[in-house]
Amino acid sequence: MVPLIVAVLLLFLYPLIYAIYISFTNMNIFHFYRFQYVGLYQYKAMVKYGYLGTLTINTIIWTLGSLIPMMLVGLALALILNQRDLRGKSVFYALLILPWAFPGFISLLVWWGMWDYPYGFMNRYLLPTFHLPPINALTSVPDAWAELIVTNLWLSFPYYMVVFYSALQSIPPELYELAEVDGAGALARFSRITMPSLYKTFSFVFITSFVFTWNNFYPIYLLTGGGPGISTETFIVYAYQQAFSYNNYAFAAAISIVSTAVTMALGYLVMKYTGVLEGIT
Amino acid sequence: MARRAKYLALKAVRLAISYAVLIIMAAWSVLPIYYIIVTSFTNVETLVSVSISDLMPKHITFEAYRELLSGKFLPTIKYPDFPIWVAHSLELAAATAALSVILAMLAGYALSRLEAPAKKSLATFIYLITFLPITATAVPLYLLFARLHLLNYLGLVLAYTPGTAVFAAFLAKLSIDAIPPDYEEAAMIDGLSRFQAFLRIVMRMALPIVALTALLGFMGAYMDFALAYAFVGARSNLWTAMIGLYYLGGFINPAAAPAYNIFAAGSVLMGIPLMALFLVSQRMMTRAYSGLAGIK
Repeated sequence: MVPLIVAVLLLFLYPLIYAIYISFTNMNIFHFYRFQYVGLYQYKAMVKYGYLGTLTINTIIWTLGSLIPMMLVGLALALILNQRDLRGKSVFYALLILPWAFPGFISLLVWWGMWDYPYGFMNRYLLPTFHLPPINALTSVPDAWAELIVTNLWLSFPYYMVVFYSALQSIPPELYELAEVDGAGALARFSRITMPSLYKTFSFVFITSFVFTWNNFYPIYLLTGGGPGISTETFIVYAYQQAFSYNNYAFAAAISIVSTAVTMALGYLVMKYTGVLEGIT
Repeated sequence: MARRAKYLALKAVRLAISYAVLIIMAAWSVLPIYYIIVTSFTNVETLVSVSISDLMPKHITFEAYRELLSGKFLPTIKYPDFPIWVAHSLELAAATAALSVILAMLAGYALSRLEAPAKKSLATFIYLITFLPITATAVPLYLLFARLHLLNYLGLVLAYTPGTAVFAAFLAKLSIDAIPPDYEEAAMIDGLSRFQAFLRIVMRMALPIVALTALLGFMGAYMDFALAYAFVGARSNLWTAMIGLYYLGGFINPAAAPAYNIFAAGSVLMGIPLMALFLVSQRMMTRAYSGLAGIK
């Protein structure tokens, strides 16, 4: 118990408090050892130069833009796999979870090469095959978002497929048989049995994945680096770059604190509405 | 009869659509992995020279793997770089795994057996912590460790461990709950100390959770890039496997990076074993959860 508390205090709580403290100073590469208290300067700068607005909008685009397609694709595939008269389920299942199983960091390095403009595999072969326009994430903001969201869909849909599939499998088949005897059509069975049974899984997955995607660092850092300009920067990526590429430690800390406050509020909501801790304590 | 024909027609349409969707999605899932595996067996020098005919190679060459394992890419390392990077990552991952197991099992034991005050609020607090974005801790930890001269592997291990241990402590607590305390009490009557009883009885009976914790700690450390790059990125003699791949992929300096097929070979050599470990850990996690669900 004691070692865990010490580790938690030292490596989570202390950094958090230290981050709050730094965010009220002017610590950067020029003031690394001799920094001073500057009050709300960093937070005011964030608002004044428009970073807060841009980062908030980008982070919401990134989170919802990734989450909605991922959940819909995952649900659709789970429903398809759940059909009793479908053959070769295990083969498809094994192939479809590959993107989740392959290390995400390495997949992203590979995707970066595939999205390269104009020489990457996507722009030279795959997109022209389907008569789609090329994607140039270096200059076009919509292209950059498309690249990020499509890649994130590839990385994450298997997780949603697996979760929803196991939720579907746990619905007792007798329910469907009884409904069929009572004359319920396919649509009625779906809306009266399938959807209500999935509701709890759906809401739990949505909230936890919302926080996960909000904090998801690697896709944006590796694929666009937040570009063009700062138009695909999210809180976490921008904070990392400000700290470790530009040594603006105080500004990075202020951005982290804003983002942390949002995720903590979401975390609290998860606990309150899902009772995830009930089984643990 | 007409109704039956209509039913069969609908069924055929439904299954046709299902198979079409599954085949397209499966092809898309496999594509990047297939692409990088095939590229690793070709002579492709750069992204520009990857062509569609390379996806069905006529000649397979192991040249990229030979260069990957014997090539010297950086002036700061005297030996072939890639094996050194892997060795560094293995060191970090093994140390993190060991420390995570010790911390998680001790904490899990305390949470399960000892009467601790404010257990519930501690659990709530620890759970909330898992929502922290990495930069919220990475930036201050970097600044703190810079002052303590810990921007090295020791610092990295210290930074990685709690992430796994916090999560694993709860799994450990649940699985220790399932071990009857009588076993340890009997052992303690026979003359073992509490710590010996913990080692010989609790650790052994909770072995699946010990293995899972070790695996999660290992993979978390092995696959990290963000913290390692922040801590030791500037010192290329300390690079890990993931920083090495980042460099081989052309992220640091595309013009000076080695040939693209070498990056592909590195991705395959790192990706396939890590994928296997991931699948193992998933299976263990499912088993742990279903085992615990029975207890509650």
